[in-house]
Amino acid sequence: MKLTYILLLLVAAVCGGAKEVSPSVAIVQPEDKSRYVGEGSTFVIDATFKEADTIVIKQDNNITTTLKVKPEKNTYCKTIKLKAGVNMVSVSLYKDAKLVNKSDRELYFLSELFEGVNEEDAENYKLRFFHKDEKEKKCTSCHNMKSNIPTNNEALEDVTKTTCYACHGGMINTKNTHAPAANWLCTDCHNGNFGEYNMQDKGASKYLVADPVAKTCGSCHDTVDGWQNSKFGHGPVNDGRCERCHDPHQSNVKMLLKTDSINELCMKCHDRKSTFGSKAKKLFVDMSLEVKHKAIVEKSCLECHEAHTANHKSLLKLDAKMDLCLNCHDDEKEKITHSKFKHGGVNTSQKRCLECHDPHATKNKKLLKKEPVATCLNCHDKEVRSDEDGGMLMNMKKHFDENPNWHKPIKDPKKGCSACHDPHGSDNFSILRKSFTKNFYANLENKDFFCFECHSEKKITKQFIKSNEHNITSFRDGEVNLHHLHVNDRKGRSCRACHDEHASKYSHLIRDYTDFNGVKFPLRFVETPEGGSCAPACHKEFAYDRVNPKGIGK
Amino acid sequence: MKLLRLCLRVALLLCVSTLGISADEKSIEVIAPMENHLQSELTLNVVAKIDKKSVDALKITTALEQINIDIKSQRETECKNISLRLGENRVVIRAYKNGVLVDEKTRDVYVSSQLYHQFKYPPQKYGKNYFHTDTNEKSCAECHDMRVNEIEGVAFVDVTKSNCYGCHKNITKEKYAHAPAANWLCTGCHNKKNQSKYIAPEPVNQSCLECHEENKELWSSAKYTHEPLDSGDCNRCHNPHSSPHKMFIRKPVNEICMGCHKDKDIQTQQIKNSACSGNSNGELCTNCHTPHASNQPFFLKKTAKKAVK
Repeated sequence: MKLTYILLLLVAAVCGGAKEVSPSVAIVQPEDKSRYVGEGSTFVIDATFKEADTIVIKQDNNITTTLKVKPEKNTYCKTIKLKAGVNMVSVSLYKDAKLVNKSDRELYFLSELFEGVNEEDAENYKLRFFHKDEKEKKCTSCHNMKSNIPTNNEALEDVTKTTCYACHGGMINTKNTHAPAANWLCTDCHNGNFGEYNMQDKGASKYLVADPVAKTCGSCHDTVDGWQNSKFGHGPVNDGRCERCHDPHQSNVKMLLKTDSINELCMKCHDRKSTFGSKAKKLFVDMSLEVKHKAIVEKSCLECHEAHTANHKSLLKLDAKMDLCLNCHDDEKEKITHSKFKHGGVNTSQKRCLECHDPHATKNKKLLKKEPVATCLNCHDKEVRSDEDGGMLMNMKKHFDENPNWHKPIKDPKKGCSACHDPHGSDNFSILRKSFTKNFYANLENKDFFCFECHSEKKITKQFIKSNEHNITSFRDGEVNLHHLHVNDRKGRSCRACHDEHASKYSHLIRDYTDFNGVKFPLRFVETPEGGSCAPACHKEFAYDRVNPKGIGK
Repeated sequence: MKLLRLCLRVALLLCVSTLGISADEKSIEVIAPMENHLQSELTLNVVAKIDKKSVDALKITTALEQINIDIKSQRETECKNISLRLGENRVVIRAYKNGVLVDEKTRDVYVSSQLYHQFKYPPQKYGKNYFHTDTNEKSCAECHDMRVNEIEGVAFVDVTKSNCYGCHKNITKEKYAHAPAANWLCTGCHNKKNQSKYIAPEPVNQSCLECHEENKELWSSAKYTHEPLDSGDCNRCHNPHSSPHKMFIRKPVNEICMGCHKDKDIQTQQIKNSACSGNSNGELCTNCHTPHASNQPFFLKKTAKKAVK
């Protein structure tokens, strides 16, 4: 019995051994399923000239690195650049162009900026450290693994002489560099210490950096301490993770940012599409929208926001509701603060400027949150109290819903209500851009009324309309201009006596009711192909006809 | 001549009575107008209860018109709007059956006018009567909705929908109609309940000035004011409902003025072709005088000196 058992074991051993006839490539470093916080991954591969003449490292983004195997050397190393997220890397050995061996590594680069990665996925990969005595042994045949970085704060004159440089020299190759890195004072930061966030890595590497790094950074950068007193802090600042935005070694841009511009950096997290998602949705901006705030495009997010800490919400430099905006928009400041008639929407609302405007980007002109009319109807969808005289302003939404014929400028998607009203304030009542009258009676002579910005004054000044002037007005009884008749006598009626300046059920924006001394009188307007009739409070039913005049005004 | 006509009428009446109409037979009962009714409007609603068995036609006769009514419907009450003249009017309502006179009622109605001396002071027998009491209205309710269906502050789009319109439509038939009347916002002025449900308080200026506020300010600062203005009787010259004349004045300007200022009538005859001869509208007096209030003596529009120039 015992014998058979031994025999069975032997067979199993022989069979198992048969599988190892062609051993996989000996990749010393990295281990499979490793996670990286930097983009560089150094591959250390064992290979003998007898076995192979070429090593090919192939990445899944089709980048291929080839190393020649030499007779005198059995260990080869090469640093490749990882992309964010999962990286599939294969290492193949060739002898006389024939594949003799192949091995794969699955690595994960978790970018500090979360670019295209998922933190949960990253959990399946382990952070591993190289600089441990037993691993370093492999390198000693070629490299001096004993650090010669000065610890007396005096950088070496020739930095290429540092022992770190040989392997990590590629890290410092751009214009903007961090002084301690460019001077290869590596151990100033890579001092083997651990921090609150990486306690578990204690002793894992000789050159561990404490996480969070803020304390390390703060040992030179005094400003870090000053931030303690601010009311609000940026997430990464609160976490002490300076390296989320800044590269501690080098960068293509000033301030050692990790991206090529400030805006790009901000958008890495604050883009609506960012996987930053779960953290705080309200911190999103969609800068892909057509109309963008000039300050952001032409300058940067930092025109309004602080990058680190601030005393105003949303890390703003000044109070977001108005002060900040008016800091640049002086012309509106004048209107908003000094106009005789002010718009409650700006002056007394909760969000002030931000009631109507989006500070970042929108689909609508003037950075309006909604289309022009919809923006106004956001508040004017009910009766609201006027700041002007304390009276109630009508429910404009209801009015527009019930009356399908709208005044042309309101229908214009570029203008809307603001064609006539200045939403920031005006010296004219109802925050109109130009003077008008509230009265039923208003002799229009010598008055500079707003209506005539668009409508020809001839409509009211010409008593008779000749046959070649029919375009002036169709409110005629034959040649008699009925506008003139209504408007130009001792008791001239203002436009609004008959017309609703917003919307009406009738053509020509004729009102259904006109208010006279607090009583609503119907105009009883009836249109005919060549004229019409009217029976308002002012007179009995009078009919007019352009072709067969009824004799009005004669 | 006048005497002759009166004699003739008396003779005719005597004849009729001898033909055998019994005064006890009550074929018709006149609800409106009441005996010796006094009013200032030139239209009147005649309302009478009819005994259908004994009456098949009515004839309403005034000095101005004669209206024949064939009675076909089964309703108890008949009504008709008639026109009157200034001063005394005799309204005779005759009931017929198969062409035979069966009943006759007479009502004397006086239409007064403050504008003419002769119609200003009606004979003593006449007095104001009011129709809109619950009792009277009952007789109308068979055909008419007697409730007020006006919405305060909003005029009717179709004024014929006003419950007042049916009986009173003639008061707004003239060319120029006062907006509240033409829009049948009756209760704006007829807003007191007393002898009737719809009394318009007098003097009327308290109602008028509610809308015509600007005049109130203008007139109160003037040095001289016209007597009708002081007494608050705007309706003395203006008809608050409708009129053939602009500003709803009851008569052409001069006729209005001469109604009181009789002495000026002769004078203006003498000064023809002067500034007072007026324009095509005959607005003689108002060329120089303002009818309400002025800072100049004699209600002149400008100082006398300037006017002469």
